[in-house]
Amino acid sequence: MKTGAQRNRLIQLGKNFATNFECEKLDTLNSSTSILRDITIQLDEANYQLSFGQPNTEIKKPQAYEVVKTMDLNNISRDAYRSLTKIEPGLPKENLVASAKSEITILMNNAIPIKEFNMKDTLVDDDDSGDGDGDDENNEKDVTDNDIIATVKNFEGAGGYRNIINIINYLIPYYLKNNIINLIDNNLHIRISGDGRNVGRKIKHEMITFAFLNNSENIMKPDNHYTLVLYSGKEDYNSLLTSLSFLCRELSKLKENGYTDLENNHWNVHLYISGDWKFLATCLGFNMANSDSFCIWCSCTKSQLKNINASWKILIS
Amino acid sequence: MENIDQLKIGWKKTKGHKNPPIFDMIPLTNWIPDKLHIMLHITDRLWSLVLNEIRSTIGLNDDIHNKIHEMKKIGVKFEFWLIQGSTNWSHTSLMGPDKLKVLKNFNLEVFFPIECARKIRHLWNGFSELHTLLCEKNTNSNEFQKKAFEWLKIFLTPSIGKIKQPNYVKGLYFPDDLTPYIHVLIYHIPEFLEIHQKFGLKIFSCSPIEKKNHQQIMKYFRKTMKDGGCKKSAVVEILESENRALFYMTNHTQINKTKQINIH
Repeated sequence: MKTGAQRNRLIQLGKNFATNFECEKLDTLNSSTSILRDITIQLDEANYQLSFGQPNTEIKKPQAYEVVKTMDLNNISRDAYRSLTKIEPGLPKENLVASAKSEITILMNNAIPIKEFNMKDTLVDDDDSGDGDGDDENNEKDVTDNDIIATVKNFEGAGGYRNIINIINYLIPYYLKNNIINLIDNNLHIRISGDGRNVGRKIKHEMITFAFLNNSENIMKPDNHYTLVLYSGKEDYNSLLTSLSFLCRELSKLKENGYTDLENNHWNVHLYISGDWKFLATCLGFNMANSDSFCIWCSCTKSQLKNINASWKILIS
Repeated sequence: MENIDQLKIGWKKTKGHKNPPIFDMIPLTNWIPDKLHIMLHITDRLWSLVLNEIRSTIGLNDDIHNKIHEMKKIGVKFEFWLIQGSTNWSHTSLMGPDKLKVLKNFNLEVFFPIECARKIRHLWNGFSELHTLLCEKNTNSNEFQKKAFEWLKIFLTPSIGKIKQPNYVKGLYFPDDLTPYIHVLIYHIPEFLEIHQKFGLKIFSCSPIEKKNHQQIMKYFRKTMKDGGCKKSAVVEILESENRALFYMTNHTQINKTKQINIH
């Protein structure tokens, strides 16, 4: 049978099904709103899916959102998904999914803009304005210029920053709705954390996150920690100082004035910070743990460590 | 509260400070050490002390392979091997959950005489108990302080008598073996437990952060252009996907589920 003729016969068959369904749906299903969506027919070696009604892009939209979510959370690549749609034609097509994804991205980037910065630029800027010997910096600048010429665009030292206020603005309604926080106890406990990591052999990333301690039941889930600053570079004092300058300004304001949400409710903000020894010590501008006065919290020195009868309190001098 | 302000101005006078603090708005009592790293570092210390002792008393030789089979029994993969071209032995470094398994279940009698093995086991059990206390929400700070101090005393059990004399009883470790994390565990953790009583120290743990770190690495390798594309850097791509994650969290799309009905 020719394919064109076969197609026409299948369409005819489908139309018969549809009329039959329309006639019988009230009697059999006792429902006037039910819709015939699709029927799959195996003919010879091939499967044919007959779809009824208008093209199903609109129907598939929520499905596409859900697919974007699954792909995002489980790191499924676009190619992998494309080959899945070949196996299961019921899945929304890849282009539909891609447009749903960019829709969400744009929507969210409007709510929570991501500011990009480059560690090199900011580091050089800082040096220009302040102390330190100028010659070295100029040399460094030359190198960066050459680098930019050498590779068209170099993302070394690239960083991104999300404003903590934007994220809180976005989350407060959700937290209120889920009873994680309430207006009676208007205290927000915010915990800042940070950690460095090696990505592959050469690249190093540093991540600063925050979480609400009010949400103590779910605090062990990484999804409840929101990244504020992410940059590729070293975990040292100068890098942290430059990349965290925005954040620190916001935190000082929060600490002093509290937080006022979009509904004009006032919240007191309490800040906490936790992390491994290296992160805490670097953020305090402190020595590393192997130096003589090693302890971040008290003035204990290495030789005094051995004296077990001493008592040490968090430094309040 | 005041101490961080003092550090802000007087950091040069405070020993150990090279720079002013970055987060100068957070009081020092809210800089909280994290229980995950305390556990990791101290078990590391205890384990390496034991390995050192094995090295100095029994010595590492091919016989060690048979003895280390004990690790298999508790479900931990651990091996010794000779570094090529030298006489030094290297060994597998243990991951977090494995460290806890070794701490709780490892049979030390394979390596040490019963008396000595018992002592070390006592010490390890002590730390294991402290660690469980750290994980609990209602740990009493005074009680913890007492237990921690007792544990320190066990750690530093002195030897009795003189070496090579009949009444000599070997002790455990020396004050030189103490580490900064042990100092924090014994002196500062009880303080933090008291200050942050209503939260407990568990919620300051860094394990979700480490996990998030790992997730972002996975994301980097599997979802981003790895800085190869010309438009966006990988960090921005990761942040965008975090933005989307917030969207998924707050928006639940309702999908009508399809039920299959088989008609025979």
